[in-house]
Amino acid sequence: MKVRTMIGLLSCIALAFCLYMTPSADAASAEEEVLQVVTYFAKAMNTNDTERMSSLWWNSQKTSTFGPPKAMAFLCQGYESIVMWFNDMNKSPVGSYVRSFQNPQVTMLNDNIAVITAYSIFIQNPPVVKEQFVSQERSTFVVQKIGGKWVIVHAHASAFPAE
Amino acid sequence: MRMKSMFGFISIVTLALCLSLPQYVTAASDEEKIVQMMENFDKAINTADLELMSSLFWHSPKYSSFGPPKNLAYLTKGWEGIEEMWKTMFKYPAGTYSSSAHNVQVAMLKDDVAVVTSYSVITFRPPVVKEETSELLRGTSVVQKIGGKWLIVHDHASRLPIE
Repeated sequence: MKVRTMIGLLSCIALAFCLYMTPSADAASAEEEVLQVVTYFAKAMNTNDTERMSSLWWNSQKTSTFGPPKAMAFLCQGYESIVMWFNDMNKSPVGSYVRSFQNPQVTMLNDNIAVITAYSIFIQNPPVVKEQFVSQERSTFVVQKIGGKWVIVHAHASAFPAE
Repeated sequence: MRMKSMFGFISIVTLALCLSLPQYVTAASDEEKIVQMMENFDKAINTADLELMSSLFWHSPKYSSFGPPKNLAYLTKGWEGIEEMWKTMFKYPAGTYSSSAHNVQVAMLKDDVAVVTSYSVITFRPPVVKEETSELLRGTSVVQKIGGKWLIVHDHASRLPIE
């Protein structure tokens, strides 16, 4: 009887320990999930994958972005406008635009909203001009878990200040 | 009996209306509070008020900022990281720097998190040189209600791209 009680007690402790540890495991995976947004963003841009790019943004009129090119100097609002912008970019052959993110960092504001900051290197290889343009940018992504999926609700990318 | 049913129905409708209204009232007042906070940001610059400026930011190492000047090109973390910049600016008499925000838009992501976008005109009037310079910036502020107060938890300000 004593052995059974002992086993029962140990099981309870083990269960309590597992339940206690679970939130930490979740927190770690939430950050990893959030980071995947920028990984997929770069992948979608580098492979002209419009479908993937569209799936990364919140399908809402509230979605907005400040972009680094002159054409996106002013706030681009609404999912359709943003997706249309990427569709236009994807008309160029794969490899015309190559983006990579460096040092992405996640700040969880709560379980469902996070801010990602990163630096990015953007290489433009125009097929006709045959001249490469390389720019370094700073990026902010505000992401929210909507319907169980992390999506971009706002983005702000800007060139490094020269002065 | 019919009269009683009528009163009962009207009471239920009135109660339902009363229960649904406070949500809108709260949402509106939160947006107003955020707009007020952004006005205080301008006020702090215009009056060289470091204390007011400090009260608008999240004093946590998690606070982060991409700024428009070259010395804030890379991600700055924590209030201490930007405090020096404000101190340097506020050494000049009030009125040397002035800021006015335009087209402030608030997108509520949750009851306690919002994204604010705006354009700002920053003017610098050096007391000795007597020559004015001004520039137009685009700003993203991620704000969060912490301890009942709206605070800036991340900001990204950049000059308008010229090409």
